[in-house]
Amino acid sequence: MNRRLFLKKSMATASIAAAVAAGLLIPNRVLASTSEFKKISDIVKSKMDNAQEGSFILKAPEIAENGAMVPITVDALNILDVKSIAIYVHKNKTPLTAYFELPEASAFITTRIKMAETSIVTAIVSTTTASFTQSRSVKVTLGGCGG
Amino acid sequence: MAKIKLKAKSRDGVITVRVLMKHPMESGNRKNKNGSIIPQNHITHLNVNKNKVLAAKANIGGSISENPFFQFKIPGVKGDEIYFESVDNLGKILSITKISK
Repeated sequence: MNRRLFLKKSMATASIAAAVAAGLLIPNRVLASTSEFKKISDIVKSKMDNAQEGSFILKAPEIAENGAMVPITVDALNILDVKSIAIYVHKNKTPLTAYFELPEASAFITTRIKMAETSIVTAIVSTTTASFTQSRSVKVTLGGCGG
Repeated sequence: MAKIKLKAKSRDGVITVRVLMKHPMESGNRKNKNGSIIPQNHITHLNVNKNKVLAAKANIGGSISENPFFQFKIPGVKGDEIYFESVDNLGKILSITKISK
């Protein structure tokens, strides 16, 4: 191994080690992300089946002109002690788009999601004891005329 | 070129954090013109810290749009330090630190 390569490699290792030491990254997380995500998806699905309809706000467009970028807002500031928010698109190949855990943040999320086709979008808001859902049907038009 | 932009603005004790990233977010389901599958390349985890304490984190699948945008609301005041980092399935880390306005 020549000197240059050695220096490069040792620097890379050092920076990763520093990140691990700071508790920012758990190494096995990065490797086992897909199976971990499936597990979370299953948990969210079971939560959704047992949940009741909540009174929070889910903002989604009725008609999305472009399925590649659909803005979604979940505003659950009226619910106390929200632990997590999940956004679930029923007809996508990976139905769970994102699972947010909010230890120190308010129950408010805005993001942009992808949708393969017209589907129902469900937001699941969970507290320590209960889960609430809200659903909207979002129509995806591919023609681009907004029709 | 910055791959990540973050704005943090406080108002009435709440910091609104807006993050815009540059990332292809390839889900691994799409095919290219030759019919071969485009390999997965999407963000899997992200963390938002306020003053070095975890405020929000997320597990993300391939269904978030290309060049993802996120908005969080975190209780806090002007001058708080907001740290954001994301990891994709290839292990690439993007991070940014900003002082709230």
